[in-house]
Amino acid sequence: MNSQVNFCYRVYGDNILECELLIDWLRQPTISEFEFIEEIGPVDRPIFIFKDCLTTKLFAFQLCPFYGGTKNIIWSTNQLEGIFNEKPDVLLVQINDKGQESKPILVAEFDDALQAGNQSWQRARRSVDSAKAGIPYFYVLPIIGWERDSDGKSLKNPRYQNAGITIGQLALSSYYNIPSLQIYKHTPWEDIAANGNHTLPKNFKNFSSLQSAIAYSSHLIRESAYGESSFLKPLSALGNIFNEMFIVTKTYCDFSETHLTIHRSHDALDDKNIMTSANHLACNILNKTQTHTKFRLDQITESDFFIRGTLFHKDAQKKTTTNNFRNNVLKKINWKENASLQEKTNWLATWGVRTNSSDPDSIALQNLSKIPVTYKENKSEAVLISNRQVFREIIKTAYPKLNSTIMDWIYDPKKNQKTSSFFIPLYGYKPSGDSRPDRGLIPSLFSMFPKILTKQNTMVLMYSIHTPPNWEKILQGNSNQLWTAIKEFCGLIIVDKTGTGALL
Amino acid sequence: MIDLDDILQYVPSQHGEHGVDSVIHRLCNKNNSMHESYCNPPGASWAEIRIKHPSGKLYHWDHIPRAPEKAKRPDSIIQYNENNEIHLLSIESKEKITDAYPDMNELLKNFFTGSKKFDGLFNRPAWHYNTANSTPSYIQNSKEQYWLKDYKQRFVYSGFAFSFEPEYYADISNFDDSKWNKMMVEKIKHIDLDIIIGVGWHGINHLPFTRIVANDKFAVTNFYKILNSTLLI
Repeated sequence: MNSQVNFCYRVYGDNILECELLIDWLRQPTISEFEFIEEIGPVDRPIFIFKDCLTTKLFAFQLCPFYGGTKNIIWSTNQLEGIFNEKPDVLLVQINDKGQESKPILVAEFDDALQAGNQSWQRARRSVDSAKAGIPYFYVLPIIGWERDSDGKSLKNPRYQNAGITIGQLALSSYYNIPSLQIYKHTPWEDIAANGNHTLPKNFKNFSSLQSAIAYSSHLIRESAYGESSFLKPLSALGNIFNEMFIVTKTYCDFSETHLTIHRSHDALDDKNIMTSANHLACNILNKTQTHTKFRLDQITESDFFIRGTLFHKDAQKKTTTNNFRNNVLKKINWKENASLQEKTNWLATWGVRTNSSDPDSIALQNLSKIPVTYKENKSEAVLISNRQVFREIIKTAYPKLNSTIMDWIYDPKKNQKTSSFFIPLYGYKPSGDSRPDRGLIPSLFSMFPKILTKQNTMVLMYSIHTPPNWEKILQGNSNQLWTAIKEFCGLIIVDKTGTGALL
Repeated sequence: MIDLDDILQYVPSQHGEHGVDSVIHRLCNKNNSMHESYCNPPGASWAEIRIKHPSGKLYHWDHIPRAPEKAKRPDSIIQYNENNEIHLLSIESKEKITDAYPDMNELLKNFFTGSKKFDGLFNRPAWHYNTANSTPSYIQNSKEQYWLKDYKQRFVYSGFAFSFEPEYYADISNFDDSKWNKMMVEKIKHIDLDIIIGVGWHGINHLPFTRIVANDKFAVTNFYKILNSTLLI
């Protein structure tokens, strides 16, 4: 048994299985170039010893399964503190010869199923937290999944990647110059999908981001041990991962429930540019430069919304929302609620677009810079509102109790507010408690539009009738992840149920 | 250089159910004569169960409900095949021995055989299979998807695993073996389980140790003998 090693690491995770998955990556010596030597220590918290095939140095990886409860970390160092609002599946830290831990070298999430619908937003905050802290993030998920009926006995429909999540990670990678990666696993569902002519990413059979992730994570470990300039930069591994992410985005951004109008015509996603976009991103990250190219998905601004955005539409169920919200707020912003020519004409006039046209839809699309505009043709989650003066009137009418400070945040007549307001109507609460997917919605939107979703411009309206009346206390408590996300990313919250709000 | 003795002294302040699951998972995977069909420690959401056919083919069930009615999705399933017999041990783990509940045996077994409102695993299709070193494939044939439904030589056992109170002993000689043995024997009779596994930790490096009690019927099986020799540390 080895009694000493050159370098030592700890693998913290939600549980033993997640920790092992990271070790399994290293145990692929043809890719990782680490050779497994032995396992020592307690069986439930083993230490795996590897030899670096490139240098013959010894590396130890101690598994530390389970972080502990939310307020009860069971290890003497809290690796999450100050970085993560939610626990990632696995994180890796280095230990120095004084026993001190580094900040995480990488973070990984392992999902054996694709998340359905709004569930796919759930992990967005972890990817944002990682990127903000400068920690490479690996999200491992299947290329495609499959829905089953409720008893699991028959197959329903394919479950596809959510392009918005992939876009968000690509944009985060570019914005913070740190990799936020999706790693695609092959599953037998791909063959079923291919046989049934269901949409799959181009060249999916040759996807190899898992191998690239092993190569890149091994590089990150060596970099932490030997220093940055000791080895060739892993351009091909990182470039390959980004390339597959761009292909996935391209495949699904104009598909099914998404129809992302701004992104689908973005230069980065033009077929002939995808490889270049991926290489630019990988080069920028590895060279620690941030060149301003037309291939950066993080650089979307409000002018992109005005040029390639679309008309906003969001549903609200009668039984879970108030008449006030539906009629006095949502209807004033929702384009598709206006059925007749007169309604459409009136709606446009509200937003300062006067027309006698018999084709108000065209007029609306020609005036995106004046009316509420979004990024998605189907039901959308957020809307950019350039005419803040009109928006202020709408909110004032709906919620007369709001004070002038809040009203001035929306539109201050004394200031020349040129930037639009990014408005997120957020359901927030089910009868049983806060909506878990909604915890990830705002971080997910931030990752897609980091230059737009700023604290100065972003406003949330929580509209569920189940919102607790004591929401301000919960907000101040700083322990509920839904509210901490709102507080971190938004400048103003209004709650429909109480008709009150708060600057954040 | 970094001294591994120092690293080994880095221990958690508590082990609990996670520790119990980790011990069972790691030990069972060290013995090739058994197969871990399922492991789902707290906080995990793994939904895939893999059962090995005596031919060596590994069948995958996924999409198993988290909280089936009148049944309990176990924390781990350990499989042992003896000739053409398939033996499945379904284990629920908890933090304390007092967390065992009266209908645990029935609910764990219902997970396979089903209840009035839940089609058990035996009555559900396996969607994928793989053989050694091959990637999984989709199962086209409906008869093969349901091969386990009519498989005659299958046996299900129920088990309960917990951590001792206290779970940690600086000196293992302070562990009261006879007291815990008595409690475990009483519990297995009371709840009608096939096996109970207690886990504790001792010494400066918090090394795990186990105590195992089985009922008379299970104790005479080869499965138990292998399980006992694997898990007893």
